[in-house]
Amino acid sequence: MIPSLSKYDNITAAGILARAALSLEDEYNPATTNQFSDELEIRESIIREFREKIGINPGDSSHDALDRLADALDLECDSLIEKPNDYETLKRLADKGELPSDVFEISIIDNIKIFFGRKYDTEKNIIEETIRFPDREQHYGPPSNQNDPFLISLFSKNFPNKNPRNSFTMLVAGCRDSGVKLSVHQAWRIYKEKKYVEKFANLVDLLRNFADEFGAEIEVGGKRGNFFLTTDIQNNTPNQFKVNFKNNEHASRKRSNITISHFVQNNQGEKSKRASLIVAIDLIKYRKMLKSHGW
Amino acid sequence: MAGLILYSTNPWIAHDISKKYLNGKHFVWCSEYFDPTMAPHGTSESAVAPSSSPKGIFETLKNDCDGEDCHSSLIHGYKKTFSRLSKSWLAEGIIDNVQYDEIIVTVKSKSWKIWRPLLYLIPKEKILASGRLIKVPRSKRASIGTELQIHDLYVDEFDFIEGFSK
Repeated sequence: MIPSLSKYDNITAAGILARAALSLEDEYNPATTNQFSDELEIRESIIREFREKIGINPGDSSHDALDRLADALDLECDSLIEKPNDYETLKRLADKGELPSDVFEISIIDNIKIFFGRKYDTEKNIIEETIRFPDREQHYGPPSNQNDPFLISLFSKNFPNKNPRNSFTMLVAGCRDSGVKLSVHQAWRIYKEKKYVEKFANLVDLLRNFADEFGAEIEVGGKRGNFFLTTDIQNNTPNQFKVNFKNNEHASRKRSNITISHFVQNNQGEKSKRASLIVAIDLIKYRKMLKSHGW
Repeated sequence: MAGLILYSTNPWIAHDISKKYLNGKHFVWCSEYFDPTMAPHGTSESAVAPSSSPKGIFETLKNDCDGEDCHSSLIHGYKKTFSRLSKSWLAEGIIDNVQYDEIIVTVKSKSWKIWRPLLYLIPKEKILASGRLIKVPRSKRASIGTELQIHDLYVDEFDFIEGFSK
């Protein structure tokens, strides 16, 4: 540590150095206000010392000189404070749903790749753009409420087309249960002509509306519906989601290809698991709609 | 003629940090005009340098973000400023170690969207009445044009427009 700061602990000394650097950048920034009665004298002494150290004349107040001085103070300051653990910090931000979405490492499940086939590359770009630069986003944090999903993010983005009929909103849902990785399980194009695109409070609502349009009725734990926000399921029990063909006029066994999409995560400290954002989508109907929009 | 609004352009991360860690308190540089070149010719408001113009900063930030310009001097400068500020806040006990790490790691992350510009629209009357509008001395301004600061602007005292093309 430089002599002028030797009477201070590392963090306090770093604060003095940081305020000195800020004062060189903008002395009217309120953050440069001295915290100790003798801080201004210490600051001047440090700056004098650093001018000498890096060879800047005492009278040189050029922008470049002040910039170099501030950078030198930053280096000294960085040596006093422990560096953050980048991965752990990014992971913590991701867990809280506060990680900037263009930092996520995106992976897309195979079902989506298979559905789009040779058009997958285009769709992948659209999905990634939706996540990185969404118009809207909604995040569920770590497990807290039994009735809420956890560590799941939804993103939407409008993709205008010169033919307004083909403009659509991409709705993407992914889970953040592995550090900064976002695993995309659902990606649906929602075309503007659908009334429900105009009225939705949040992205879960939009997904629910979409499931009402393209979904098949399913039975989960004795309850029937097109969409389930979250439900606990038992380990190793097959066929926990049953398509109710009787109540699905458009989804007869022969003419439909119904996919049940959901996120399965371990409940903390319990043997059960939780399934969230459960939708059963008739892929034949969905594909037909995509084609009608020039897809 | 100057209007009822003050204009200030800041990166989104500045607003986010103020909201999350500083109880909603913002420090801003601002101007009577979004585009000082539209101020009456010959007035000090018209002489604000492009580097201090809310419009100039907005366009530069927007272009740098849209183009993911790794050599953006404006974003480079903001990164240094937030790194210095967070160290000072840590030393003053305004933020704790966890929050310090979050600011440093976010600012140094590969994210571009955190630098997208927000144009703050600040109703002038209340700020003036409370004596919080500070005229910056000539020696600290980029040019002879009038530049203003507010040291303690709170989230409920302004609205903003977001700029990002992607």
